Amino acid sequence: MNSDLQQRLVQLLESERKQLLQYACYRTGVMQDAEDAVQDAVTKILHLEGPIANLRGYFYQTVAHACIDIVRQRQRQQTEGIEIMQLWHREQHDEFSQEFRRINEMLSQIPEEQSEVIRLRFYADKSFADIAEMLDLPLATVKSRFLYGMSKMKKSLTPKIN
Amino acid sequence: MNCNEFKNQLADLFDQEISAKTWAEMKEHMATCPDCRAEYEALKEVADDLLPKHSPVQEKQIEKTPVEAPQIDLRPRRRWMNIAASVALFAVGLVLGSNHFFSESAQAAASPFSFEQAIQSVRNVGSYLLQLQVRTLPDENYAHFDPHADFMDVTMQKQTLNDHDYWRVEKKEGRTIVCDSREQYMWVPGKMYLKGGPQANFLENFTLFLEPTRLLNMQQMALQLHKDIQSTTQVTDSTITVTTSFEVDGTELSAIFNNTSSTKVVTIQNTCSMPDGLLRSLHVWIDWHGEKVEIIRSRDIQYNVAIDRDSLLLLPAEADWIDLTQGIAPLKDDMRLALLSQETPVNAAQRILQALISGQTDEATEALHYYKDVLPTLVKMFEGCKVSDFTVRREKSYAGVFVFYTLTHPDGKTETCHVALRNDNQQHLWLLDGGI
Ligand SMILES: [Zn+2]
Repeated sequence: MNSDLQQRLVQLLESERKQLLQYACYRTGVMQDAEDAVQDAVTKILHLEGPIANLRGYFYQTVAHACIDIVRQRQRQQTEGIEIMQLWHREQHDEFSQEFRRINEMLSQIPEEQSEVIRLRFYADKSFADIAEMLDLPLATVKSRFLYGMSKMKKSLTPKIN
Repeated sequence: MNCNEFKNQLADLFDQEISAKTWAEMKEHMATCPDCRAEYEALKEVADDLLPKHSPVQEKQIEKTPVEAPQIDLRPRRRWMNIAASVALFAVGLVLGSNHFFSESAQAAASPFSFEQAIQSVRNVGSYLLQLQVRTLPDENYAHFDPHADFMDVTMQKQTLNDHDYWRVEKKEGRTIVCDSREQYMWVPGKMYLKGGPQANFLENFTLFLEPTRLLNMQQMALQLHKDIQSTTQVTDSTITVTTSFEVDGTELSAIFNNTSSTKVVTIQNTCSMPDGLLRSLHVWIDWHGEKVEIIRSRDIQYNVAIDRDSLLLLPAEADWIDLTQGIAPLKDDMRLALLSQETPVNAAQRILQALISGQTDEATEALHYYKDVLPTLVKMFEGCKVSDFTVRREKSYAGVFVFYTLTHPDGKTETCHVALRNDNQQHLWLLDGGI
């Protein structure tokens, strides 16, 4: 195991635990799944060989993929009718879950590359400069993706009257 | 600012931070330009809708996550532990949550041996006697292993009553630690007598052997983390023996074996009796310069044995205990107090180490309070050495700070070392708390 990588990963987890879990939560909508996603990402990265220059960016990306996998799997289970009881129990009606569904609906209206910037800004609490570094993009691109995404959601917020 | 400039900087209003100057300029523009203000307000509305208000991630919840706290609150004794490694485990454990871990590995295990069962069996015992033989030195701390040393008898006894743990760990005629469920006592006969509170952690990572559940957990965890792990299982009518070899990096073991720095691969062999699943024997080998050296072996493990509490908690009568829970007496010299209380951790580390190197330990009497009994040894250790390149690191799990530095030995060899310093005392003086 790459001990330098491990050490960096540990520092990252230590300093960004809250943001990471929150970011994952707003991707999965369920705390348990968010924890699982972060775990999957840790395991995946610990098994990597070779250097990772942009660990933070890579880590968030890995968490995002893990979240997507988990959500997909959940949907598949739902459509296949598996573990209905379990899902029923997990289907939450608390304030967070309602908020999550509403937010998720909003974000699903815009392209992923825009919603990702918004997620990192609001849920992982990253600055635009951080996001630019994590996604390896020019700062101006990050800001314009943010503004495009936000503007689109603004328009969809006010229903057009025909 | 004109409308174009405003639009170019609009995103900045939603950044983590914005310069006061930009904010003032934009506000000023909005005051005079209704279009730009409307644009901002519309986006602000979207942002308000998106910003988390009912986040399920709360500090309280995070603290509740089952976490095996890293053992880094340390007291006067040599400290070889690799903090990063133990913190690694801490962090991994934190996000993993042990239950998840176990269920998965239970599914994966094809052998009739289940760590889960072994852990469950051991968990329910009220007392525990473990006779170990360890390659170490009698007076050394418990984190110290020496592949060249002879085997020493180490006896560990533990009694659990109403959730209180009473235990005694003893090297034959050497370093002994006793815990009466609150205080911990550690002594080396005729040389050192220390009394510490519940957090004293005199045993360091050797506590693993005091708690068979943790030992088994750890192996299970290693199996889980390293898919390519070598593991063999031998079954007889009444026993199951599991032998696992794995790289210590990333496991709690790396903290234990850190002083034998060339060690990369550890082999552990557990034998459990069936059908009760209790751990009956234990062997640990390390790879030492390409050679497999056995460094820990059990002679006897017994459960639910009758242990006499009084003899378990017996302390040496002649001892003059240094009470670590008392802290140091307040410093009365105002001039010195003013000087010392302004020190940065690096200043303090430099001063302490220089005092040890020069032998003028008066320069750091306060800081060396916990070490006052071993000063001659420390001075000898540092004789002719040089220290440089100081850097500070903080770990959330430790109340003090770690100062890393480069130690140059008289023969020119260098190594990276650290001292643990803490100043959570009344006068905020930096005291040496570990690392040496
Ligand atoms: Zn304008």
